Amino acid sequence: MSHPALHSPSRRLRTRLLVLGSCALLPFAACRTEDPRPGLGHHTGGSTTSSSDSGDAGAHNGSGGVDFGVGSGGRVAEGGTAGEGGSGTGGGPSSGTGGGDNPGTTPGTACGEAPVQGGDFSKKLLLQSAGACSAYQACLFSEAAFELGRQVTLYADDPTDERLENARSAWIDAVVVWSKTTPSQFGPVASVTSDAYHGRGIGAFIHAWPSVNRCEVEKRVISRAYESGYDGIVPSGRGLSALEYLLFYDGSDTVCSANSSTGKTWVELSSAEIAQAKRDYAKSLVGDVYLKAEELVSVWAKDGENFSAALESAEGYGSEQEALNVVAWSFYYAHDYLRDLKVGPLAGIGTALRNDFSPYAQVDLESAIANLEAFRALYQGCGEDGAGIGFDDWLVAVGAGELAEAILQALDGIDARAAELPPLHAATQEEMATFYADLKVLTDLLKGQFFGSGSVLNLKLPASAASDTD
Amino acid sequence: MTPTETIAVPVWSSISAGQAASLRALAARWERVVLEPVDISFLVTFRVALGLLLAISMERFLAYGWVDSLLLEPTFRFKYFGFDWVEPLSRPYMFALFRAMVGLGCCVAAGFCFRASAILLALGLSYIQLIDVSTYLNHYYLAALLAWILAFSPAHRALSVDAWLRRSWARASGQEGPATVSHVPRAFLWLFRLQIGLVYFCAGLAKLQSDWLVHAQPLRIWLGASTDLPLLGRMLTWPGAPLVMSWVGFLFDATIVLWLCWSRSRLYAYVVVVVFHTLTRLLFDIGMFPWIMSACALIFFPPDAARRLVGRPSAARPADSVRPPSPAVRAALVLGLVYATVQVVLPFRHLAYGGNVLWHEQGMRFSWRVMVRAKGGAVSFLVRVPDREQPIVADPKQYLTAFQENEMAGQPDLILQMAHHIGRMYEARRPGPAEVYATTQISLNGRRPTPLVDPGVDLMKVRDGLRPASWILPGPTADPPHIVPVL
Repeated sequence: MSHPALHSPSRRLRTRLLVLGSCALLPFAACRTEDPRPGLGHHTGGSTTSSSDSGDAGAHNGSGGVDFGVGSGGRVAEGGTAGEGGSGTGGGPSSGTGGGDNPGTTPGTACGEAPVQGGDFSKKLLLQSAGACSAYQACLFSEAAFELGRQVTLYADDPTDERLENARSAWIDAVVVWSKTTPSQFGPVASVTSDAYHGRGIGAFIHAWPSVNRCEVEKRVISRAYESGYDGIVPSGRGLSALEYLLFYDGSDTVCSANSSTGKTWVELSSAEIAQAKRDYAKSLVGDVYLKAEELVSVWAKDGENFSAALESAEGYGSEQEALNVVAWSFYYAHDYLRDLKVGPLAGIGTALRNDFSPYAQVDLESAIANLEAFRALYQGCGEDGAGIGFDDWLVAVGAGELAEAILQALDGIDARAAELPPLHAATQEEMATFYADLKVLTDLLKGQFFGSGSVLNLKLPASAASDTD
Repeated sequence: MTPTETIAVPVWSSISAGQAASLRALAARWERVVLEPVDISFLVTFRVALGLLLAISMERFLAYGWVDSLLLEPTFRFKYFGFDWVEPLSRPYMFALFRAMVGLGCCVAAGFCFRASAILLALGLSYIQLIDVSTYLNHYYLAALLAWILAFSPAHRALSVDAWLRRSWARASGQEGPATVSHVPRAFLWLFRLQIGLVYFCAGLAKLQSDWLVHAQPLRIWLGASTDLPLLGRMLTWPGAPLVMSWVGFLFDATIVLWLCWSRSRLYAYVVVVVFHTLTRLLFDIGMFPWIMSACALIFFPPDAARRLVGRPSAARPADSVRPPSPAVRAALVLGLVYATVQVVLPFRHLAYGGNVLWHEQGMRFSWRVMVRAKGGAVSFLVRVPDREQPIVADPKQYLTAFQENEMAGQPDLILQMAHHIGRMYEARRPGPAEVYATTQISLNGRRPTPLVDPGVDLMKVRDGLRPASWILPGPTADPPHIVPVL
């Protein structure tokens, strides 16, 4: 769901003026007005700040309205990164290395280094650090989404096995970056349930898990509804989860009911026609994913809506503490999603039904590890090895260093366990139960003294649980 | 009286025969004092203030979505002993109830259909509280008690729609209208004063412990959330601020009733009351409590203060004020006395259990231990069933909302109820008895979490009751951490 304010003409105008007026102040190269990435400066999808624009205009042209710099027949357009086997230096997110069938993506090069907040601890700095880290992650994901778009476009235009492998590889890169982006459940990526003040639910359009639905994807494959835009397409029918199915599932069957219109049409198509229809949808879908990624970047960017500044000053949250509450609720991702939805069902613990994050590519473990990296980045700091200001610094500053250390030890324990685990789908129930127990140590610490009535930071429980006290 | 007759009479009666007369005289004197008429304006003021504040409270429940999140969404609800049967109404009726209670609060304030409105409002408040123990708050409980007292008072006899209607109807029918009621028995004034005085005094006594007075906990933790307040925020980071505020809080709660009762200090004391409660509203999420208490503290002013404030002359005392009370009035007085006795004794029942009431919570509810603990933690349950060697991990999250889970963590009787529910769920699915054990890690006032419930006790074999609970482990003895509010 996009924020209503995004659709306001004055907002768009202001955003564009800001873009023109503040180029020199941009924190990340990816957020430049004249984006160096192939095709971005002249994509036909309109303003990237509007979610409703995605895929509307130009849906028939390029990949979902975005020109990924791939010419007809799968050639990379002039001025972009190197074409197939080329050696140009386009200055895009891939830094001009590779390109074509051999992408050679190097995340982070165009987004700069991970922001590291220095100085003595203050809550304002913590909010600043959390915002900068999320903006950085959004930028990284935008890069990965662009590369995904390029590779999928190349594959869709000329479906060779090699290009399929490249597309799959780019999807895995993108989903891992996304797994490190989505746990920061505040601001534009978050739903209004997570962040009632500034949540826009963009994240659900990029990856719908746990609300995935293969039939919803197959409906779009058959109906080609995406050709007239993505406004009517539910999150479970689009995004990275849909792309995973389109790129990794080789079968030509459908899970839609045989009596449904999709089911009836599906059986009338040959395998080749289905495969082509899937490629067509994938090619369009990468444009939508990329536009959503750009929307995220735009909301965070100083030349965009500059949500970083709003977060730093707790604008709209009512108080600094409430802004910190909302940011801190991101840690609940480790409890609600990682422990209870990803690991719990595999460990036979809890009531959640098995609902793999990555049923076709089977990168659940990589995703889980990325989730933990996101936890660490928010908890310790965004830089390498947790450099920068994080919630641990807050704990230390108030005199709860023991708890800060206990959480860190629990996190280290989980990381060590994750490093030893086989892919989650191949792990035994005992292995998963041990992993669950490790996660529980962390989540118990969060519930005991980090959040709720026993919190030493006076952090409240997630918004849905709010009430008076006395 | 012969010696034989004396033996036939119970010993206490014979011993007190001489004292019986003086007891009767004392009772008669007490009756005279409590039935002595006092100006009704205090009661009218109280009626208007409480009615409006309760209406606002109910509206807040609706506005914040608490009807759904606290009362309707939970699939399991913690029950008060003897009130297992209380269930929420269906959603439309629940919302209708809250809307009706907003209206009832306004009716009470206006004195319209007062008796019925006030009784229905008190019933509604009581019902809402009985739905789920985890929603218990001292000020909800106080609101219900005050609503009940008000419902049985003659608060509508003056400056009310009811009084106006009665007079109008009488005039319209050509009859002599009912005499304007200007006085009510002093008993109502004293009952309200006792109730409100107890809240302050017990809240003060609850702070008479080292966590509060020596370590300034949990205030150290809570003040950290308000350091962004203009002007005040930076002051909260001064190292001595939490301790100073702890002592101020203790002294305020423990002594404010005295200052309010003393005529020479009353006005200043009330200013302090308003400032104090405004500050607590700024610093803590305590909803309507500060406003309710600020309004309630007016009860310590002379009963005719409101009348004098608006420049109305005091009415003469009714002529029949010295008549002996009727049996019904006597019964009401006895009822009031029993109520007052229960209210005085109830907050101190924790003394029968020993230990730290903030930890074991036996005697915690209904004792006005307001804002004295930061307590929370993680609870999980292990279920053993006959046909399975390995215990099953049961996460309470499966049954509870996050709010309920948080509330349960610090309250052993709720943990016990949850254990019983989980056990029953497993027993319904599998043959044979289930054993349920609780693993708890609970933090009190910032201390390192420790087990609250004995993990070796099968909670299915434990019955909740008033006896000291041996399955609750002793509380932590270490000092709480020295938390510092930071900017």
